[in-house]
Amino acid sequence: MSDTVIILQDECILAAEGKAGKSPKIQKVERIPIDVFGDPFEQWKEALDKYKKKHNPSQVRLVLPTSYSSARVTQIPYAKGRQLTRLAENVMAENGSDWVQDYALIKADRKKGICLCCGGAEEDVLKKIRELTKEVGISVQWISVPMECYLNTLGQLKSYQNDTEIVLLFEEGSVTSILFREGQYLYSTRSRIFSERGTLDFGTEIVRNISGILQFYSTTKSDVPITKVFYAGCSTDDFEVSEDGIHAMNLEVEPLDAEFDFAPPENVDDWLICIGAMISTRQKEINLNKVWKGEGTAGVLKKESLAKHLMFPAITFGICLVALIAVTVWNYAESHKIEKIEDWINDPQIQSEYQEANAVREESDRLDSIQNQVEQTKSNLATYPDLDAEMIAKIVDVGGSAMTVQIKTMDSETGELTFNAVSSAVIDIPAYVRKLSETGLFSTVNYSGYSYDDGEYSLMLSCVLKGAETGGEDQ
Amino acid sequence: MKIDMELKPGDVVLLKVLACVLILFFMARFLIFPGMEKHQDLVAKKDDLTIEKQEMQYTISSKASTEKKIVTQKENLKKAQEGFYDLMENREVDSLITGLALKHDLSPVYLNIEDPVAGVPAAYQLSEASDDSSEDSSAEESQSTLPYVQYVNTTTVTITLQGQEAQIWELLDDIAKNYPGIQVRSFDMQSGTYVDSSLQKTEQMNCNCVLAVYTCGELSNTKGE
Repeated sequence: MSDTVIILQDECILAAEGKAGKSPKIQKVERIPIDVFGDPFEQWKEALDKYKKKHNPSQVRLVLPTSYSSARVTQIPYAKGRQLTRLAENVMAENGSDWVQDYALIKADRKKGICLCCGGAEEDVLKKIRELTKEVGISVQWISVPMECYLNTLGQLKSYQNDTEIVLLFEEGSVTSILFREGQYLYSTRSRIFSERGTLDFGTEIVRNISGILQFYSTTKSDVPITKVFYAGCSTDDFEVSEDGIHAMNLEVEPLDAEFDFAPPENVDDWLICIGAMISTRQKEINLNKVWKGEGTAGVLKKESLAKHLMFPAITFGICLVALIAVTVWNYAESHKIEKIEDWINDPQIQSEYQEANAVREESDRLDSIQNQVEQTKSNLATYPDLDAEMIAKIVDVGGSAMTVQIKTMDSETGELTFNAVSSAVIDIPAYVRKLSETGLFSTVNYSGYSYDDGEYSLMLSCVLKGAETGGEDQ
Repeated sequence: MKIDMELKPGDVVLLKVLACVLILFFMARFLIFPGMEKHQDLVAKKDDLTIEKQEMQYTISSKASTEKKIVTQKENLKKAQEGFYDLMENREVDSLITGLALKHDLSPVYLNIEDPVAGVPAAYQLSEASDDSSEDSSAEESQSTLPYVQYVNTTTVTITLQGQEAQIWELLDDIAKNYPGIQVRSFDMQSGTYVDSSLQKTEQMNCNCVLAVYTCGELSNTKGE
């Protein structure tokens, strides 16, 4: 997709099509003359309409005519960033506040400083330009001033970078003279040419113009003399009448050797302003359209700068915000789940069912507990030895027929059973005690002595019954 | 006072880092971490509620089977408490014990019935159950049954009987074999010489006997009856 630049001039409009960039390529050019009498805006509108119908450009870069714009080139100390912005604002502030203004960085050098080109136009002019382009149907992307274009063009010509020289750039009926000292912009002036090119009067006007510049230069008291004059936009034959006068001022004169990628057959010198408009550096450029729309250059810079500075904190904040939102959503989801569970639990119908079921369950648990108690009781009671007929018979049998057994007491808690074994004959007491132990009924057998009375021996015995589970009698 | 100063690129970077750190700190300290703590609380609450819900669901869903189980439990309980008595009033206990003495031709001369005491009787002290875990189990039992009433009660009856020694042995043997709900806790036999109605000297035994009558039922329910 090609770029289009349109230069509005007092006598014509110049249009060029090509590829914009640091080294632009011009593929097509067209000059549409306009009637110098009458409303120039109407004339430009007609010319643009013709161009639109012929080429139908989508977006164009527009350069205002010198007569409806202003340009001021200033050399400022080297600066960048906010400092540069502030210096540029100060320079533009000197032009007054009624104008829509912007600036371009033409050249920046740490030692020599910055060449700043401030351009501006009245708001009414911009309004009219916008209206006419809107009516024609051309979208204006960029609005600049001629001086920026010229300086951009000359900035591309490396062979003239370090000379102290005067460059004359001819337009239809005017000439723009720019004075460079050692490659640095120093002064410029624009003059109308009243004489016809090639005439003696034309030569006189040119010489007078150069003389004026020399007079200005002499006031600077510079040690570096002006040695050369270059011209462009005027044929060698037409300019020849000026050469003698220029030589008389000890100046050499040469046509500007402009080498650009210029495809059309026309003379490249006549299209230098178009080439300048096509040059797109990566540095700050004038765009009155953008400034006038309310997006002031300084404001844009400040906004961009502020946005750049705030980027990392903003990203951090964004990440934190995302984390916070995630946690909040997470919590919300959990709360929602809890709410659902609580709703289920507190549902009257569920509660009613649960109360009923819980009562049934409690009854079941109660029955379990009761049964356990009963079983435990049975189990515990089964551990006690029962003093039944069989046990008594067994105890009696141990003594044999010669012995009478009299059970006295029994305590199931301690298991202690006391009884008297009465015998009329002297017996083998240790053997009897052993036999009692061997019955398996007792865990301990305590013999505490005997007494003899009325021809009978009475043994005092105290035994502790074994529990049923440890070998005692079956219950 | 207007402060006009230029910031160096290093200062700007430092300010950016500081801003990032401050944003991170304040967002994390006052918003994100509290949010995460709240989340942990919510998760814990949700877990508790989920368990409660599952318990409720299980209780509701198992209602029918629990009801069937109760029927079985009641049958089992009925079988288990065979041999034990239902809650009895003192006159009923008197009737039971005195009737038992009279059944064996013994003369009851003294009867004392104590108030029933709730609780599972302890195992015999020399038994394995007692050695191993009778105390523990009874403790556990009492713990586990805390929410429920005590169902097994012991009524201690002290009775003094007069009669022949053989009759007393028959009584003790009968209790041991045929009355699982009655336990002879202790007895003390003493012989004595008495004069009967025909002024003849007779030898008789006095037996002071302490019996335990085990009843089943909830005491609190019968207190008011």
